[in-house]
Amino acid sequence: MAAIEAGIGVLLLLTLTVGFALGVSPAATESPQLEAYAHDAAVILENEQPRHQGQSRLAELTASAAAFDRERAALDRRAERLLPDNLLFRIETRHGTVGHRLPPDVPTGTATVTTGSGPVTIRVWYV
Amino acid sequence: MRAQTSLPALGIALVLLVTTSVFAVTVAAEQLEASRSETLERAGAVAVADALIGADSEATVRANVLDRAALRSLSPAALEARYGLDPRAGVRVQLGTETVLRRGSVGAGTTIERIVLIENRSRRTIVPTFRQSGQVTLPRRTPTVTLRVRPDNATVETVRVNGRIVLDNPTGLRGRFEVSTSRFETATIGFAGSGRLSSGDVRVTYWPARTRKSRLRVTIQRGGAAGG
Repeated sequence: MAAIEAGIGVLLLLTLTVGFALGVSPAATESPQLEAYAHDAAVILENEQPRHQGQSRLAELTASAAAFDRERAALDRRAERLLPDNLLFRIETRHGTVGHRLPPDVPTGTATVTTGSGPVTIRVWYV
Repeated sequence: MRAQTSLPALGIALVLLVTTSVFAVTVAAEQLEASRSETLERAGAVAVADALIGADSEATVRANVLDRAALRSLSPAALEARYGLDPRAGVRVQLGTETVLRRGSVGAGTTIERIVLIENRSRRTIVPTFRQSGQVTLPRRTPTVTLRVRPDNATVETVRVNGRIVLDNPTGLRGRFEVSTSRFETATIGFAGSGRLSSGDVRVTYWPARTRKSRLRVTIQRGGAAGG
């Protein structure tokens, strides 16, 4: 009898152990890195000189719908070159978005820059 | 009677149970410790990388733009004093594929990668011909311009940068002059005076920046300072 009871007890404890071994949350390991990438891209683009006029490249992008249409291809290329190859990105402005379509349920890193003509949000995620 | 026969079994059962409990607690403690250590390591790496590429860092020209020479001259002691490195942690800083700094072992460490630009300024000189106008527009932006003015058959009285007077002497300018320009707009330098300037009268030296992108990787291993 005692052996059966002990067996059940041991089983119970082992279940707990397995729970601990697997269950300690594998803390969001990728999110600080993604946030860092988004932040860096935002800072670098924000400090880049505008191609035509405005305070910065990002401010130029948001200035008007016409400016957005003119700048989007160049900005797309620039962001593509800047970010590591294993990342996709999306830049959101008042006049539209540049970059890839954001898939549902992926961890993203986000950075927002405030410009004179509205906010610009940069999101990055792993391919 | 039953109690007496099952006494050894009870003993064995107790030993089994206690062993298993101890095992379970050990595993749990290890897991928690590992998880905390990794979190702290990552937080440390994030903090050091952030401080290194911030606008206030000694290794940067402005935020996210690194000065390569300054980065190379960093020491682990400086990282501890100014960039928040844990004195007992192993650390490695890589720029692209080059390791600029290393202390202790980092094999099992945590890495944070940042996107940075590396800026190089090189010296360029142009000699305006003044065939069409008394103006010269610099092809690239620069923070300072050095003018060497030695006119032969003319005098230069006023020098303007984008319409703003930066040098003025009614009896004629001659010699070397340093002029600050804006990093944010293209500079057009105008020369006004008497007589007609010709090629070679003025030499303009400027310092355009060339940036290229790179990655800064900061790896930190807790307690790794002593090892390898």
